[in-house]
Amino acid sequence: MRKGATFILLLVGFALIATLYVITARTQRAGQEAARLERALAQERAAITVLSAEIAHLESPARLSALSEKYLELRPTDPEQIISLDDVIVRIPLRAAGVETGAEIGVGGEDD
Amino acid sequence: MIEPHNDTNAFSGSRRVEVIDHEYAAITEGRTRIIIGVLVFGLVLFLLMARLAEVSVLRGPKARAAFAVNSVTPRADIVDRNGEILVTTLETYSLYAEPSKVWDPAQTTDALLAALPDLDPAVVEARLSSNKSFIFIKRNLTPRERQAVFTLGMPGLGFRVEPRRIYPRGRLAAHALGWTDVDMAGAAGSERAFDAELSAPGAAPKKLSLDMRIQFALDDELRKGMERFAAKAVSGVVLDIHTGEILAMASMPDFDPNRFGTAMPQTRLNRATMATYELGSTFKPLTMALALEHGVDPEVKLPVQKPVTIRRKTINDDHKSNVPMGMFDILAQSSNRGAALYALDVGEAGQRDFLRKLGLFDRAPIELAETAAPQLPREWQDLTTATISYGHGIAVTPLALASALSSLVNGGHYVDPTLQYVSLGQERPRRRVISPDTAATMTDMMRYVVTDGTGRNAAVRGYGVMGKTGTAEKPGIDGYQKKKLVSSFVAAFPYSEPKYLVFIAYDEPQPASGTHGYATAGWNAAPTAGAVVSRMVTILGMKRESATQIARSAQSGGH
Repeated sequence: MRKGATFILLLVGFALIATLYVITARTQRAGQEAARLERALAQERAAITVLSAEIAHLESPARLSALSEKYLELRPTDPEQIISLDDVIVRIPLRAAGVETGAEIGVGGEDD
Repeated sequence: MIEPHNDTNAFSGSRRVEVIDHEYAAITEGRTRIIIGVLVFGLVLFLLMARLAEVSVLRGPKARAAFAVNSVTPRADIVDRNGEILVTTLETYSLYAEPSKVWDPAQTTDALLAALPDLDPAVVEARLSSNKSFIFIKRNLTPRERQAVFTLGMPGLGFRVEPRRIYPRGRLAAHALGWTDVDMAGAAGSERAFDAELSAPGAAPKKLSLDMRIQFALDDELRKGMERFAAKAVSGVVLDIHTGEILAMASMPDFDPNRFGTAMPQTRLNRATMATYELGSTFKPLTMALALEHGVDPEVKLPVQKPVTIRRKTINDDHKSNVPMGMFDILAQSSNRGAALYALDVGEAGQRDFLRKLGLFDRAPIELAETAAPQLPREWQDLTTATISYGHGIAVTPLALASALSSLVNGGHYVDPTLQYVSLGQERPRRRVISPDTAATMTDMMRYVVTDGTGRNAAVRGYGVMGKTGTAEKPGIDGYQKKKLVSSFVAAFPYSEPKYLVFIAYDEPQPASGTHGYATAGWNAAPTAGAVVSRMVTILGMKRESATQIARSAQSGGH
């Protein structure tokens, strides 16, 4: 009876030790994995920051405008190039030619 | 074994025998010891198992150890109102050496020079030969430089990761953004003004009121203008007149904040907020508003054809008139005499109160630390009142005047200028300084300056620009200097619903081709402001104003 109890107790003990070992090992592995991921994440973030800084640099208006003037002959838009819808309506008549449209169509204003 | 008692009388008369069972005693004692041992052993075993059980079964997973995160952004980014990055933090590598581990300083220096050609060999060699334990050779290396040094494989060299502020847009908005010191603490500009927010752990990017596109338009036009008019300096501000947001702020000559250490001190000066100028006639709209607030009828004509003399000082007009003029024409022709007459009519106290209300007696209430206080006249008499009416005798910063002028065209409220983004619907503190009627008249009057007055060169086709020129002679040792001018222009638009204000100030512009020998504001600051406006309307996609919207609604000038 006593021997049996001791034996069972020992078994339980060993089982517990085994469980502990497995769990500890797993925790450690998970911890290392987490640390690795954190590092990778930090590296990725750093890389993203570097890249976005580089994009910002490459996209700076001064650079873009110099490049577009050099290669595309683009210039800042002139307000003259913007017309209102009214102007378009005048240029492209909505009704077939010959039909009197009356005085409804107003000429979009420009003045100074 | 039974031992006889060690008594000589053992077998004598009494017959008493004492038997001591030594073996039994030993066995009993042995047993007791064994039991104690077993008990102790059992107890220890039990404790161990209990502890094991507790550790492995009962207790949950321990709090995860905080793994050191390589934090590369201890300082938040700064972005413009559309979220475009203006300032960010990058990891850079600083090259250090441990001289005690360097074998051959001369050889190491040679090798380093191959990788980093801009080092000074004499200095490096001297430092490598020193008996210090740690020296920095070069801070903030680029990844390429680091790789070059890395491949040298020299002993005693190492890298330390150091964060560094990067301004990817270069010179753009350099003054508004500012810079940090070596420890990444804000030292100037927004970096300093919003230092607490930027350095707070986990802070989100700081959104400024600046619009990078408008900033570039302003920058570009100022740069061109400064070159064309060979000016000593130029500064400009673009304001949203309803929220007080600074959409752009530039000062030239400027600097690259990435290399601010090598920048000339005068280039670091933010002239929009730090330089005080006697800005001249751009002050006149304030005088007109003051007169209107005191019930002056703008239609009543003043005798500006006659000289105005105060304390034996004669006030002259650049654009002389032969006939009396009403307020609209006085502003449009920029008559000093007219402005002086209005101011004298209101009087010294009224003028002072008014200018104080418009914030011209204090530093511009902006977040930046680098704002200059105005230079006010030491004593205020009738002559002072007269000269200040057309912007002489008081020196203020361009931003301060721009903010004051905003309240004339935004319906009559003074709004503190700000560099922080104001979200839609967010209320900003504002105070009424002039009545809505006065504001409406001022809007008309400033439109008239551009249609019929000195501000014609600021006109943008299809958009109602309002404005006012200002040309002032700079004060020198003996009086005002005829050849050294400060020319400024304030432009506000669109006329039908004023929303933006552009202020440009040139410091000592020179006549250029096409200006007919003039260096006055109408020929430099006005066209520059007009160019900024015309770029802004396309950037912002503003609708063209119709002819009826542009036509002035209220009183006409009329000659």
